[in-house]
Amino acid sequence: MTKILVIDGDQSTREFLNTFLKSDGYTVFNSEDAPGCLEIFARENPSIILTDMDIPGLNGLELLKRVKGQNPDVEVIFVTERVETDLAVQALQLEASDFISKPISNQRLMDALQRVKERLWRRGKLQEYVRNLERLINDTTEELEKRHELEHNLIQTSMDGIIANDRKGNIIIFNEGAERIYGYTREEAISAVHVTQLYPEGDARKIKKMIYGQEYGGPGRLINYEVMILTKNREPLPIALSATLLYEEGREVATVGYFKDMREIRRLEEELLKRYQFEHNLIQTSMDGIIANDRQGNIIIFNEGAESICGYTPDEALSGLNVTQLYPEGEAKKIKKLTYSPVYGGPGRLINYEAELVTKNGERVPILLSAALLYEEGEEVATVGYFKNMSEVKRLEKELIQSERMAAMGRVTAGIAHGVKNILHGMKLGAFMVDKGLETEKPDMLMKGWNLVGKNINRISRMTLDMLSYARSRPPARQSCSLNDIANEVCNLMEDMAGQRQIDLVRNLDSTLPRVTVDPEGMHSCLLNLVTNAIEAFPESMSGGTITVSSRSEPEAGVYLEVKDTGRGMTEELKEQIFKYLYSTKGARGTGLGLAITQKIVQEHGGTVQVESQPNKGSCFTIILPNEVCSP
Amino acid sequence: MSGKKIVIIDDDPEICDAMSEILGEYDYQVFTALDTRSGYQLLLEERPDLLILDIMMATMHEGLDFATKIKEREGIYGMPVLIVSARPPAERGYGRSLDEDLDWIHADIFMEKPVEPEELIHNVKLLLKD
Repeated sequence: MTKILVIDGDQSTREFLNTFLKSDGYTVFNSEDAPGCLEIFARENPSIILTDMDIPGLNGLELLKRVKGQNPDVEVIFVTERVETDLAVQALQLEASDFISKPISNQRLMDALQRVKERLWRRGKLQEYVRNLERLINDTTEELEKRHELEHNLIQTSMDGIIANDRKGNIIIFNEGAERIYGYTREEAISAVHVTQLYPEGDARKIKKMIYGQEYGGPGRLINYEVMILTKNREPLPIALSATLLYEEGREVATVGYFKDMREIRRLEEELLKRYQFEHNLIQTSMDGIIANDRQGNIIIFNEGAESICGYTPDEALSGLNVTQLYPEGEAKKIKKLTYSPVYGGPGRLINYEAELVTKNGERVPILLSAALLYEEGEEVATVGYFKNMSEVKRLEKELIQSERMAAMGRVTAGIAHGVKNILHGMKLGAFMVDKGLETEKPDMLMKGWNLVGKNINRISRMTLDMLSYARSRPPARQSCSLNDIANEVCNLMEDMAGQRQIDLVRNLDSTLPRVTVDPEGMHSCLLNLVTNAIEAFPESMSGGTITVSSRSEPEAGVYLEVKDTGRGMTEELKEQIFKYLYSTKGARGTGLGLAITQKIVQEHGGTVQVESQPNKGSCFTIILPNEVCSP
Repeated sequence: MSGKKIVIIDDDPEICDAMSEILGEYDYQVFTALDTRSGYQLLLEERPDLLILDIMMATMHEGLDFATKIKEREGIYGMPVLIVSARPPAERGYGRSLDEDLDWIHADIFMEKPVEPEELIHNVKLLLKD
């Protein structure tokens, strides 16, 4: 609702106007004097003021000035007794809205108010329109600013250097990237640097030419052109430059260059090159031969190692030698097959395969070959083979076998000599006793001596037989038999001897043991040896003890024959020696062949002999025969 | 009849028997043991005048170690030790010359098997100063 302020000293006039205006829909405020009206005006900010020209305390014109000073849009209508022309002109100059003379005509008042309202409405519309317009302009400006800022930021903060220069070569844009690369600040660059100073002498002109030219991305453009620049410190530095010309209304106005610092890339490139060279050297100078060939068999890598083994120079090898020519006929194909198969190291690999190479001179060289297929993007592209020359190794192996043979012979001879010396010692003592007995006519002594001679004759013959049976390499005479029967035979045979030493010989035989196809005589000797050893495992000074002979079958592992004693046991050191040929702990009484023979026979049956032992607790020897020996 | 005491340690009971028989003929009191443990016990009990030792007993150095031990312990009263062995002096354990080795194998006399019984008796007499 439009607010209207009525100021008049005369109460009846105020009342009249009040009634009239209220009925017309205005919100009316009344005041009779200057202080009151100014206070109301300040508080209510009415749009229209109806005032007498002479209000108590204030001249009408003065009021007009004041209110217009506070709100230029306020409409002031003077209601006056008489309209003096001077006064009216002054009031109109001060933008009074209208004059109504008293007595107030209703019609006149309504007309005046109507005009004022129209003016107010128009002014309101105009203001709204202006406000809208202003808002629109503001919004657009803001957006433009944002866009500009964004672009500015983009340019400024780009990792790449961005420089723009006008046609005269003055720099107009110089971003942070450019600052970093060149070492100039933006201010320095824009105020004091000419574009030609950014390059070694003459290069700026060349670049300009190239931008105009066709070759690098079309006219007006340059794309990723590698060029040297000069930094603030006059240091040359490689960059990759892209540039474009800018036009305004068809006229060239500037050149913009975007560029990357190439140092890091160059460094990486160099590193890569070094790595490549290192690997290349590694390959080339490897003591092992390294050869790679493509799918057609053409050789693509042929290192020094390969050269020294095969006799071809790399040039010869790389110009037309096919990989198949390096192997005996058919071998290359076989190797290829094996490489694909999972047998030697999995598909696509071949590990430590013994093969032969054919050298340039046609000689054959034994090699140990590993190979792998090389793939590029999932497709097989080459085969690379690493190989060692095994000639020397083979030669050493042969020598080793030879020298081992000699050493073995030496050991055998020494062992025999040892045994024979002990036996001879006994014989000499025996013979001496025979002589002494005869000389002194002591038949007892003679008998003892003769007995000793006889025993030692038996020893030497047993030793000879043992040696023969060890050396004999006949295949075992296999037949179906029962291991329990053999065990019983052996136990029967040894029971007396065990009894003499107060040793219990316990049998613990599995009656469900399957029949086996073995050499019964051989198995008999094995078990006899183990039981004899077990008896001798008890110190002479010790009486009592147990030897357990057991048999059992384990579905997975095979058939077990076990001889366990509670004798003196063995140290770890001793355990390692016992299977050695001619090793004996029995001094003169042992031939050092028993366990060696046992092991040999068991191995001939595909089995093993295992030992567990603890000093002073006893030992357990186990013959394990594989399930294959079981009779069907 | 000297009655001097000799202890023989040899793991072969037959050799032990024969030796005591033979040395008994020369009026020595002979005690035998089949291993070094019981042999040592014998030495403590009998305090013999001579020890005859087979150095190739059950384990590699049993005899040698034993001889060393005896010599260290019994050195005070100077019991001589006679070693009998089937191993030639060039074998492992005493690779230098026999004379040198005798220093460290702590034997007064070293005899290699087979031993001539006359020689053995001669050496026994020598060591016992009979």
